[in-house]
Amino acid sequence: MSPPGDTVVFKGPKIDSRRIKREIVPETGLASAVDGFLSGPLEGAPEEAASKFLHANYNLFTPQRSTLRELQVEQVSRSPAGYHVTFQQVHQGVPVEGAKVSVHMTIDQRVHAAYSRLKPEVAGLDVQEMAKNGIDQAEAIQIALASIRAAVKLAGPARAEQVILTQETPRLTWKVLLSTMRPAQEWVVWVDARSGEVLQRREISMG
Amino acid sequence: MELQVLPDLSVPLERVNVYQHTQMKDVIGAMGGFLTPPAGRMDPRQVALEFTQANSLLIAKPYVLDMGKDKTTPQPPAIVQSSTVMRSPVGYHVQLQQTYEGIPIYGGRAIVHMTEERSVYFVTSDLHPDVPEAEMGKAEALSRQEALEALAAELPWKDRLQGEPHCEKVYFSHQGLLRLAWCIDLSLSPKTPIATGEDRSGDWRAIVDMQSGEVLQLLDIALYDDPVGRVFYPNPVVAMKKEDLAWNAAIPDSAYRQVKLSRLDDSGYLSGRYADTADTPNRVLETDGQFLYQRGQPGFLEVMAYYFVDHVINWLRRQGWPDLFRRPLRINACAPMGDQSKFFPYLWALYFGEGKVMDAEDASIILHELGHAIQEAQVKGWGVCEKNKPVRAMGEGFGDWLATVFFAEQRRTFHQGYVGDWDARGYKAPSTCLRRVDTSKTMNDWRGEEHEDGEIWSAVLWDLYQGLGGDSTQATTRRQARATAVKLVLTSHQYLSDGLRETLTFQHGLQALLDADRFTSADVTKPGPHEQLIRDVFAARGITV
Repeated sequence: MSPPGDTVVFKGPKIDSRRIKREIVPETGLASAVDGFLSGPLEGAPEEAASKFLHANYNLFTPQRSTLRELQVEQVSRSPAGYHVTFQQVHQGVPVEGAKVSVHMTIDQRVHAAYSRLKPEVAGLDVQEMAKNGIDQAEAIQIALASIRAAVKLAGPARAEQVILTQETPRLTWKVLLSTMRPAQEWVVWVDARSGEVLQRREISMG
Repeated sequence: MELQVLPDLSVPLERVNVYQHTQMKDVIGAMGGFLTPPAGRMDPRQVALEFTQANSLLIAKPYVLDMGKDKTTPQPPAIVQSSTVMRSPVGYHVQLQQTYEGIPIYGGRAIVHMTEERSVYFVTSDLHPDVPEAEMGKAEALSRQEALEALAAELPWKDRLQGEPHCEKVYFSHQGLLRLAWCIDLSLSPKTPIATGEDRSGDWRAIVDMQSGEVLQLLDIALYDDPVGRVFYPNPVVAMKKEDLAWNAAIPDSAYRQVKLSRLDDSGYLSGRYADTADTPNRVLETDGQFLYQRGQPGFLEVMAYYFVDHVINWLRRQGWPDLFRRPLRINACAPMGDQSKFFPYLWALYFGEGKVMDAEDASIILHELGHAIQEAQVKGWGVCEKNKPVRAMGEGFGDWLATVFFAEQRRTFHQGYVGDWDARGYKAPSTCLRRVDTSKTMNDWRGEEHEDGEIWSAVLWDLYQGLGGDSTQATTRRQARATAVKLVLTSHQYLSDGLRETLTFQHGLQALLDADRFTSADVTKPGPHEQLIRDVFAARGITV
């Protein structure tokens, strides 16, 4: 929380990183949250303004500027506070699970906070190599279905997309989304794209 | 029509097709037949503003767009920031709102249409050429409440309000002069459960002169061919204030409310902009738009679910959330899944379960589930983490709080703070309610179960609403408190978009509320106006930062 009156106002997108508040991820030394400042009003659509901010201050969030080229706009929201832009990190066309950065701006597009979970460590991964001799989408769905042990009636078609899971060793996975009628549940299952091993499951419906 | 390609943003009058559709003298209503050069990736709003500046002579009298640079003449009405940008397959459509001294001029709008490449090809304009009469309406201006009192003489609204009136200061053109006025939108409930032609229920817009209190214009903005339905608002226990109402009791007509079903498509089904009951088995079809059912009849649950999802999302739109739902939420109003209801983020669907009291018979259950969808719309993947983590408990608590705070006026003297007090009558062991938002739980009561722990979160939010004025004896203060609380809580969700859901805690939630308070205030360089209250209500439950 910023104590009263300590917000620093800057003119352009580049902020003085010595004068902001930040939370640092100990393992990487990178910022997971920065606030206590306001950039100047940034021009362009909100996503363009947010992108300008990230490019001007990339070294807070990633050692390589190239990581920013891997960001895709996931969501632009308007609220009474202003605009909130969330970017998803994508490596060689494959989303990196949980690797997002959000930029928060006032109505006149002055950035006042940013939160980052970027994963610059995926930069060296070769997705094509990781996918070699692996399972296909249909196999991944079958494995996911078996893993939830459901004599299930699906409420809709299952969907699977490749994502990079970065817990411990980065792995290329199939992220399978399943909605079942009996029991009424919705599952996300991450299946290793090479070995077919189920790495993680989450029941994500909310009651 | 052949489009003329122009070298710059300035359009020569002889090369445009002009349409005099406006009734305002000397103002061109619409023009087209040209194409300005592409402006690359320039912000469409900026293109629109520069275009109107470059062509002020065509669009309105010169002084309308002159921004008042000449201090010797009265300051003219001016266009300020663009108000909305719409995207379509053709390109962008930027609406500009004319204002005078920061106050909108009623009906004073222009829309600049441009291609994907930002080439302007058409403009429609209703910009107002009049200058406000000096100091007109400024002296002894009526407050919002005084204006509402003045309106009551022409439109009896007291005790019949559905939702909070929306009041905005405007300049209104009346008898050739721009007068400072209140533009008031309000919705009135019927005097009886079934509306008659004379009771003036429905949606109204009133323009009330800020100086005299005269009602300058009163418009019935309800569409009489709109479909209608019958609902519980929120449920029979509250409507009848009957503590011992049994699940199988006969429900009188007075416990129902007739409502307009808005934003439906023309299919005859309950399918609209924000909700679609398509997943409901044997869904009802009413080509005449009369969805007037009672409990137990096919269609009643569908009407309940459709109406409250649409009603709340539209209410939030008016509270500053214009694009919360970009696609309709799928609804199964009677899903065969036992006595439970759920939100499915991947399906983008709400499924309501069964029971002696069907879940969708109780609007507080509908709003609880809708709360999950609202959070998902704000932050994709809100609850994608292990069960019972704090971020999921915050989801459960928010749903409970939304379900109670939305109906705070209906529950003011009976079952305030209750969730599911009709649904619970149908449990195997009938209960007073499903949960409450006004418990004494603190973080010391943490159980590691998301619904139970959600009662800590909902209690904090309830205390916040009360502290903002929800406990006032004045209805206006209570409504303002609800609007402020909803603004702060929903805004705070935007600051919880962290990719790693597992690590979010109630402390993060508190920090997000402090940020929301600050960044929705007039001076964002200082802590928000409610900082101490927010800290106090959280500290009382053992949550600090």
